Amino acid sequence: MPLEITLWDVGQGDCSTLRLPTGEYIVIDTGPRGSPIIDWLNQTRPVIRSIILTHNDADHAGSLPAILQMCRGRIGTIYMLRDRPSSHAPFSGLFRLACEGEQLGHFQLRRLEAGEIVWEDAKSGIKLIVCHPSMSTNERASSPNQTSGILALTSNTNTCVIWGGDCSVPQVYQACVSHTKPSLLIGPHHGGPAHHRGQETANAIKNLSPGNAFISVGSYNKYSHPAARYLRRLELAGCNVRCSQLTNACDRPMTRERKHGALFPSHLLLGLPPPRSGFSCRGSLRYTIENGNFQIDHLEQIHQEKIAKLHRPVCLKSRRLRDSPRNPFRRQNLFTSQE
Amino acid sequence: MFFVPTFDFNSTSREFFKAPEIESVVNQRLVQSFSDNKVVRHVEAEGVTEVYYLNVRYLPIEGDSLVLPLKGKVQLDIDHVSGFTTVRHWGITVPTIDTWDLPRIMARKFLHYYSRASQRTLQEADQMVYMRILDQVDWQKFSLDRALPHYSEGVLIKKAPLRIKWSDDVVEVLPQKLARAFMLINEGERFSAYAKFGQDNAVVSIEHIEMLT
Repeated sequence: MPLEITLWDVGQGDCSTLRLPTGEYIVIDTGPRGSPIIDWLNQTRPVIRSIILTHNDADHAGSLPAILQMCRGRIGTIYMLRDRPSSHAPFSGLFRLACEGEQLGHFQLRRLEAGEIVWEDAKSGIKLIVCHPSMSTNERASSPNQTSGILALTSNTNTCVIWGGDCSVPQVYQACVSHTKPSLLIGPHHGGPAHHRGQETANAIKNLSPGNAFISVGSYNKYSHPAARYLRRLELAGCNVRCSQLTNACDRPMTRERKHGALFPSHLLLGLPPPRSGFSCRGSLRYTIENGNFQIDHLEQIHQEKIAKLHRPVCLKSRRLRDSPRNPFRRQNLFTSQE
Repeated sequence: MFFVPTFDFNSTSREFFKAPEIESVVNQRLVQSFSDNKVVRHVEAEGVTEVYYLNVRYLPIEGDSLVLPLKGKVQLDIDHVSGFTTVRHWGITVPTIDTWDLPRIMARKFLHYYSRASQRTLQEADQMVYMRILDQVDWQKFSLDRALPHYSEGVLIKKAPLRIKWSDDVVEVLPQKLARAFMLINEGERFSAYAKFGQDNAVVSIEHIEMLT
């Protein structure tokens, strides 16, 4: 059984699952309350080796209570970190549930800390490691996003996937400086990472040089995610960007798509429940890693045909610009300009 | 709470979809609608094929408790020569005499693909048909109606209007019809419950309420 990575469309939030060759699952972020992964766990009842919360924001960990209640006795380890004071109500609720579960022997509770190897396959050499935060970074962080977890799935020869959590791009680069050129970069921060306008970010993208990027973002998010400039920079650096949902950066989902629903019901074609809010663009996405080959699911061509009909898709426009031989100067200029 | 269809297919479908009636319509090439306007409506003639619309809005999946809403009217191509009826975009062709059973046949076809996709055994060849079917139906509402309630924790802030603060700090005003579920919970008390979420995470129903101390 190949290693399989499913990137879920949960609306505004983050959620990924890894199906290991043994058939067990690793869940990286659970998505917001009402996340479709709960419906899926209800239906399939898999064995969960680990649940990793990159940080304790509601859009990353909101559905943890439902999952803990439902998957009692089927979870191995939960990795989480302390990113806000104990008096903070949502965090204290999450932490209480996790501690209660551990005391009852339902699972182990571990601190998410750089250097931790969450999973390793000796046969293929693939391992999932925590790159950020270290103990000192966690203590020094002034906001939960700064201390967000960064994970990397690496093999002997290359880096496959980087989960950026809600960190800034320079932070991701610094944490993964030995894991550059990943096949897939997730996020960070729903496509609107801090300081995405700065030269530091431009350099970090250039050095990181991801092959693909997945932006998990909700149509109705109130933070103007994703930042069109960030998507453009990724595309111009040679990265193929895919967003889970349509946003105002690409089209007018509120007016155009309301009548037609999702652009592309990839969830159902992949056998996954759909999100409860927003309009899907790429929706859920599945990658497989077999014999060192990193493969996207077979729905990509249909998606490309669909986005070509959008009003102003940032990803496609930037890709055309990147691939056009007539615009070498503009490409370079856009990428390195000081803002 | 499940969406209640406008009429009960189980009890009435056989009356509405009587094959002899449809045959007589086809034979007489009637242009006007059926008198009750609930069977099929004639639209146009294309050579030997006549085009009708199946005038239903939902397909029953689990009786009345779970239905598959249709986005628009389903188009039927009735071929007089071969005696077969084709459901456009659905990849279904049945003898015209069996047209009365179409809602069930269509629901079965959808459920077949839905189950195959969930079990990850959907072939690529079937995928295009499934995609065309998904274009015709409100799969989002169907999926949400089908989903089981989720465990949730929160604090009852106020009873009227019914205001809840969920564990993720989101404050939501629930429909007053759900207030009965909270009759034993006092304002300010923490509770756990199984809530069924609809579109945009709005709570549709709530049950199994427990007090959290």
